[in-house]
Amino acid sequence: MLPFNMTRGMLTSSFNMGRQKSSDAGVPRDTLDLMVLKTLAVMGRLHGFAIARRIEQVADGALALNQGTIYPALLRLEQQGWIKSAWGTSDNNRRARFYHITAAGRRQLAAKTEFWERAVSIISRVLEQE
Amino acid sequence: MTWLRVWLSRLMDLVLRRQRDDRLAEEVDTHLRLLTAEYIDRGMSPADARFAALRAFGGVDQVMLRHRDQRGLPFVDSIVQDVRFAARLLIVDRWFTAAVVATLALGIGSSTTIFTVVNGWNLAELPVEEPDQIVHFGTSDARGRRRGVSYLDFRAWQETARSFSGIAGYTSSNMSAAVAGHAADRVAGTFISANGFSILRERPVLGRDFRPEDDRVGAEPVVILAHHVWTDRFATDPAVIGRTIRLNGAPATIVGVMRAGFRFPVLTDIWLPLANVPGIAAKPRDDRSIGVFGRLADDVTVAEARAELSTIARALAEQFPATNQGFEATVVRFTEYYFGTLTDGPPLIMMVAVGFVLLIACANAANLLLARGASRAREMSLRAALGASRRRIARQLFVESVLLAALAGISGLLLAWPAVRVIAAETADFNLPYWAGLTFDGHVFGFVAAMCVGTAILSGLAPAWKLSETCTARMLEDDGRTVRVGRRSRRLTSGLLVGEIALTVILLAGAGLLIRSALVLYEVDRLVVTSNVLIARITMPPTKYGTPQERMAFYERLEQRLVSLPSVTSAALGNAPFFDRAILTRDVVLDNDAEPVSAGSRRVLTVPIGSRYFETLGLSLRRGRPFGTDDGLSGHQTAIVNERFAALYLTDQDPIGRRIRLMEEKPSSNAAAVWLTIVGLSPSLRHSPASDAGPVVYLPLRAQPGSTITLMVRGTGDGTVLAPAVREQVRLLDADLPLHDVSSLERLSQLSRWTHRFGSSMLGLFAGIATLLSALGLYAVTAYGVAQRTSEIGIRMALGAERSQVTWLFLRGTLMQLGVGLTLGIAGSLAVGHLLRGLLVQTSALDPLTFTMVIMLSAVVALIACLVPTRRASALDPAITLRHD
Repeated sequence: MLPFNMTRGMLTSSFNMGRQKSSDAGVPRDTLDLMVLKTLAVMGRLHGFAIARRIEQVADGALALNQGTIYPALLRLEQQGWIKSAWGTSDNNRRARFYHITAAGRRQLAAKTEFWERAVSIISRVLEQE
Repeated sequence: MTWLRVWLSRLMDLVLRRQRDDRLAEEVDTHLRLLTAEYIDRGMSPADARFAALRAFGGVDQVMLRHRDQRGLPFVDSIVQDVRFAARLLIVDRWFTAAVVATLALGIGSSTTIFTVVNGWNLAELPVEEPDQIVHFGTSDARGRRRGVSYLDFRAWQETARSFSGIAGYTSSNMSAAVAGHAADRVAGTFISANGFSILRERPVLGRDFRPEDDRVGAEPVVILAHHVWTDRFATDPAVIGRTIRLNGAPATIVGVMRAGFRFPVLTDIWLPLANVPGIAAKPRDDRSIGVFGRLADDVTVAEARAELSTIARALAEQFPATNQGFEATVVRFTEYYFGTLTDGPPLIMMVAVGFVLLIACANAANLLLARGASRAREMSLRAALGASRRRIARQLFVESVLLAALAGISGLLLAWPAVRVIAAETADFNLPYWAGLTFDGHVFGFVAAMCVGTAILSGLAPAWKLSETCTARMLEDDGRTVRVGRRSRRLTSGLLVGEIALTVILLAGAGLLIRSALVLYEVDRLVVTSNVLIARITMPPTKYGTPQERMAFYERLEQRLVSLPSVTSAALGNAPFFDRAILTRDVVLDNDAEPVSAGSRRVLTVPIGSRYFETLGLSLRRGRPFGTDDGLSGHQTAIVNERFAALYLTDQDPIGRRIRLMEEKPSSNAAAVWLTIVGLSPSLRHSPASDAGPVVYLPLRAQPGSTITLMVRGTGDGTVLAPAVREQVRLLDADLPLHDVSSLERLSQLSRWTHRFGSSMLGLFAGIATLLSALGLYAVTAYGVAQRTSEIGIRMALGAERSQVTWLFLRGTLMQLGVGLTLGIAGSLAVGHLLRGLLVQTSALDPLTFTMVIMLSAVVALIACLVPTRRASALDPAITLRHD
């Protein structure tokens, strides 16, 4: 993955006094955020476990995600106002915290999606030249 | 704006932490439960499923940690952690904390005291709008002496100067005020131009301001009252406007009352228009008795105003050379006129001295921190091993210093409070302006806060950085307690001690010099028996007593009446009382002068005195006789000189019978200057505050009866008891005559030596504190060094070293520090000595006696501080010390 620096990422990382930017599984934090946003956009309201499960499913085993890292990511997204959380009841009648995407989050998702698609197309073109 | 949201969220965490922690714990728990359930579904045993779930989740603690860091402000968290740890440490190490806090508190306390004084006086501001624009005008003559402004010059400036939005004149005078039906009171009056209040942007709260019509000679006299006069004498009656008040016998109408607390310029009770000054229109251009103030126009600086006024003054000098030649105009900030700038003598000396004390206190605290820090080397190594960066460790140590400094700041304030109260009480009768006062205002608290930060940095930063220097493996290998203090650390300590000694020596030298000067002044004053003498002044209004003969007649009658009072042993009148300012200085010509005397080469003070002057002071003339009833009359032009005069100008020949002549300021009138015959030789007395006795020529009062006269009345008991009787006698002669400035000779003597008394006691106190701190610092460092090298001492003694040899081991180091410190200190005193030059009386800045005593005192103190712990250590049984480890 090419390290595209996003300023917000820089800010939050400085709060952490220069700790590593990527999560334990080697997934850059910004990409994890994107995956969570997309998951919520597609699936609606989910709780933490479900989001992690869904991401693993979609990645089809290519990601070895430490599921716990989802929580700092969810916190980050909530701090920036892209998702909101509320208490609710899960399928087996347990109390769980459910997350859903906000309008601002959708906008962010759209922007990031476009960004990634453009990046990929540029790289593809560069790599395709012979 | 997302970053703002993020920040707010982090900030909120300080409050919501517990709640959020619980929430996360619950979420994580749910997550794990669901994962475990999933694995169970896949066929694992519950135990295996749990493990698998935990593995899939990743480190729970790490996640919680990462979450917490993301959630809150980790920086704040760790600072809070540091503060908590430091606070605990301070409580545990109680004695150490007390020592450091006491040291720093002495430094902060003394500097806060001096700052409060400087802030209350030198930095005081007029309580009016934009006080920086208010300036004070004056003149300085060819010899650089400050003088007032003449009325004609003032009008000229008013008309031509452009740099000011307004110029006004003022002059103060005590007067008697009487309201119908009440006895006369003495009030402080100020004559002020009609535009004076509007320049200050003040308006009466009742009635009206002065109008230009009021400020004309011959206009109906009107007055404006100060607020306290309205409340005290008129019971806040709104009908006071229009009532009549008799000032010095003449009626005037009250037209206004100013706001509470306003008493411009100093302590005024009542204001009148400037034109009411008797005879002001007729005053010659060289009668410079008016004060002038004004407001700078917007965007004009003091320098620009000064330049413009110089031009105007020069033009006037050309136009009126007889009166204005050589006179320059001066413009200073209004408050500067009263208290001088910060860089004049006493404030600067005090600030420098207190700065030294502060530096010594910080050096001491730093040494103490270093000493204690070395014993925590193991703790530091442990922290480093657990992953703390050097900066983190240093920060922890620095937070401890900050906490100590904060405690010291509070203690310092508590120390400064009574000190300031004492100074305020001492200066209560100085007639200080209403806008200056010693209070703990915002500036002072800001200063204390700044001091705390400053001392924390000065005393804590270097030790924190030094101590966080760890060589982990080595530290943990040794038994951490006997870790040797690094050579660099020892050098830092040594350097700090040398610095402390040097600064202490400078302070001791300065204090010594000032104390000597103060004692010299005291000795001079002790010639006079100052107890039991009442001092009072009378101002003779020129309307009733315009000629010298009228005044002299009154004085003679008054003196007779005073002397005849019971319990009065003697009474005398004089133009300037003893100790006070005698501003008349002249050149003197001797009868055997071959050539003419150049101006300024032979200056003397001239003091007209009554016949019983010396008798009332309890002095007898060394030779000759005092003045009698005939002296001063034509044919009996006599004078008395003092011993200083005889020593300087008559080279100790018998002065009786010699003749002298006093030269006037204006060369033209010297032809008329009369030859005076010396009839007496008096002891040398001081006639100027804060300075030594100079050559004085006493004249008979009849020759120059001034309009303000001082009464000296010696009684059998306490002088002030006589005050009512004296007042009564004056009243019998003239009911409208104001008696003011009632005091005692003793008080006057103290007041005139106040600068020296205050300076020497403050400097002495600071020098004492500095010596104490340095001694304690030296003691602590030596004691610590001894403790560290206990095993070494034990070995040496076991191998046969004598006690004296062991003692010498430590003494060597101290003597070295003492030597260097003394050298630097003496050099520093010589350099700084010129600051004191203005205050030294009959003492040179290089006074050998003072310096010798200072060196001896420092050496003795240093040796004691070093020897006590050393002797104790060398007295220990080697068997015990060797087992100490």
